[in-house]
Amino acid sequence: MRRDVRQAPSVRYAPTDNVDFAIVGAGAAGGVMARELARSGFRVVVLEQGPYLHEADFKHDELRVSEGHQLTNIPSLQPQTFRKTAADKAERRDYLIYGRMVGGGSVHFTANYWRLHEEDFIERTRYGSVPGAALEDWPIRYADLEPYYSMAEWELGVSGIAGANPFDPPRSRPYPLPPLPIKPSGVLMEIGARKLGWHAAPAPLAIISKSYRGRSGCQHCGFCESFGCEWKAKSSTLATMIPEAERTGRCEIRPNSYVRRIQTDSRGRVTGVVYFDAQKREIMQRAKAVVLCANGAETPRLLLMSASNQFPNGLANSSGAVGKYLMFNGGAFAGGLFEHEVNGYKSVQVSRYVQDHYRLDPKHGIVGGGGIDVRFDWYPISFAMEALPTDGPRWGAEFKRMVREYFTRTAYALAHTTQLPQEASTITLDPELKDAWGLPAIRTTFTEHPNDMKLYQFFLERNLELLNAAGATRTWAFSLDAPWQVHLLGTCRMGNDPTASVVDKFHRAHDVPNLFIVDGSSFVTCGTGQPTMTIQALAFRAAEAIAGLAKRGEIPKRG
Amino acid sequence: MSDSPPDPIRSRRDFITLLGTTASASWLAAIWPRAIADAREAAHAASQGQASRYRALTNQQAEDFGAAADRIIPRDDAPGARDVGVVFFADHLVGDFAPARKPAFDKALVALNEAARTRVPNASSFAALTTMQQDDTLRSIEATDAFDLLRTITIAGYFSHPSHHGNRNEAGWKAIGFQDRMSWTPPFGYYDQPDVMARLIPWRRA
Repeated sequence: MRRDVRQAPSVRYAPTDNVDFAIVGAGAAGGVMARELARSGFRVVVLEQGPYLHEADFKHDELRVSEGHQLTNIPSLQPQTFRKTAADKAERRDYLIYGRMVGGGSVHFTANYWRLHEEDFIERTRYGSVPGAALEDWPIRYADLEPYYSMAEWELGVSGIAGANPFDPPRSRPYPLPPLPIKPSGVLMEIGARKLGWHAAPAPLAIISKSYRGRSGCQHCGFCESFGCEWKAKSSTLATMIPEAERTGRCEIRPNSYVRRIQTDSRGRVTGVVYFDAQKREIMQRAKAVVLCANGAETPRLLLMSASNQFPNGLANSSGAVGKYLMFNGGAFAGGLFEHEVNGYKSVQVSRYVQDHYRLDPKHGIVGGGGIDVRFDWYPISFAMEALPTDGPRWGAEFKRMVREYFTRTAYALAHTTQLPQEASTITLDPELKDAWGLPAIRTTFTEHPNDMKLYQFFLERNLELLNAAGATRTWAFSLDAPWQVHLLGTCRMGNDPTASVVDKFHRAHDVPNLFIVDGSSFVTCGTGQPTMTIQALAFRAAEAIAGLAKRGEIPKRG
Repeated sequence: MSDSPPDPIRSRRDFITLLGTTASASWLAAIWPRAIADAREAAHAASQGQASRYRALTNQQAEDFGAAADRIIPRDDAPGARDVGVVFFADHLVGDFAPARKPAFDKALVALNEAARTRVPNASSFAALTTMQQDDTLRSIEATDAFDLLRTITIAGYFSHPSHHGNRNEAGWKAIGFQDRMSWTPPFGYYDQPDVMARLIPWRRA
């Protein structure tokens, strides 16, 4: 098969070169860090466990992204275990899904691109102590992050319309691109929301609605969620930051490089990273500083695997917080059948959302809140497998009739909600199961806080209410038990207190002055909804701070 | 449509490579349906001399799986599962694309035949039952992993990209009104037509 000719990497470093930064993970955060640090003049190597794919590798082939795990972690190589509580024996179960390629999850995500709001950063102040939850304020406020939210929108390319959502936090700049066209499902949401007194707004998306910085606009092929964009219209780091990083001539993207250990010296400073290359050879890349951007599961796992005599509980873990407070964002999901053609399979998945319940009225007695979008993120196989009313037939003539009737006439309401951080929800190393490289498997321990379940139930009712108000002739609810999870958050939380958090407010590990951690693991609370934009805004902010520290000679080197 | 071996042409892109680089796009478009039909015939003829038409499945497995698949997605005014090649899809799946699924697939067919014999003691195989007996048998294992796997493979074969040897002629996609295209333009459906929006959501600004 013909493939497009790859550009040769702009620069290659030898493992013995003591580069300025080794970045672990080339995803939503790692891509931003790579571009920003390389543009600031530093020599950067990015180690990515997954492959370096390009647009020519992306096809409308559902089997390849699901059964073939083309863009995500590969369970046969990287098995996981899961248990509800520490008292249970963990069972083999692939509970977490994350991007595993250059560009990471930013390649296959739906591209919903929501800012957090001011109150997301101060939930401890707002709610006080919530039993069973480790609620804390962030060490930064919305105002600290706002310039970087705007930077992310402009540097990556985000479509939306400022002021259309009355609940939007203040912003310093408008969106660089107008919203994508409204879809039939968006029209239905406008109808339903209006009837209920809610406020539907064009959904902000990291997908360009027209040409922007050398990329052409969205062609509405409909394959966003779970797929890579063949048009480069989705503003993944693969389509934006990574090539710009390479063009500096100072950044090497090194795919198929699976980091197993962060190396430290006798003074407790990082000296580089040890990784397996594609042939499973162990290689040590030297670096003056390391930036971990490996996601909320792989990052704590790597810190725990980097335990040494000096750091017996894992690197950067004197607080014991590494791997704790795991959150995903919660949610609830419902479907509706409509009289006329909705054709949700065309164009981006989401064109309208509502945030009227972003912070629930205290009368409900529930902490947090959520947002709702109306979407269609099924493809033919997944639709027939799972999208029909759960009490209907699963096979046979009537099943087939329903699949044929429903495919073009359904819309789905998905709520994205708060989940409370809990000390007992963790990523740890499985004591028995190993991956294909002989490294300990990820073990997830997770049970929702009772507040989370109340929130899901509340939003499930709102979803059904919305679909009914929109004129659905039939509505149905999906189970509130998540079969698997995305949005891996909170496991190396940021904070001012080194005894209770892993990184400071500029993402430097409290325990290791030349180690930085920038990804979903930095979140103190999970926020209300979509995390990717905040991950990337944090990365822009961290990159600026880290570059400043390095230029001023404030990142101590090896001893 | 009857069972015939999978197309030797795996994708349009491969086919274009086969033809070489001198083919102009318009010429290719003109001969395309004919070229495919010819290639199918050739592959079919080649297969007649072979002992088995399948890479990984025994003929009996192909019969039993095909029979089950046709009850899971039966023919109506759109093709049934076997019509669009789900047996060849299953063969490709467990023989090539996801060989790790082969043991579970074999086990599921054993379970299917056991369930068939529980209901019809002298049955030679699931495929040999009447369709009513087949439905009864499938109902009796509906809650098992074996059934889930047979259902999953049937659905995947009916709706997957045709390069995996099922969904022949995109018949599965046509049955539900899905079209695989690289681009669409608004309006995408009924509700976003300008006159319909003017009536339903006159307040809209963007």
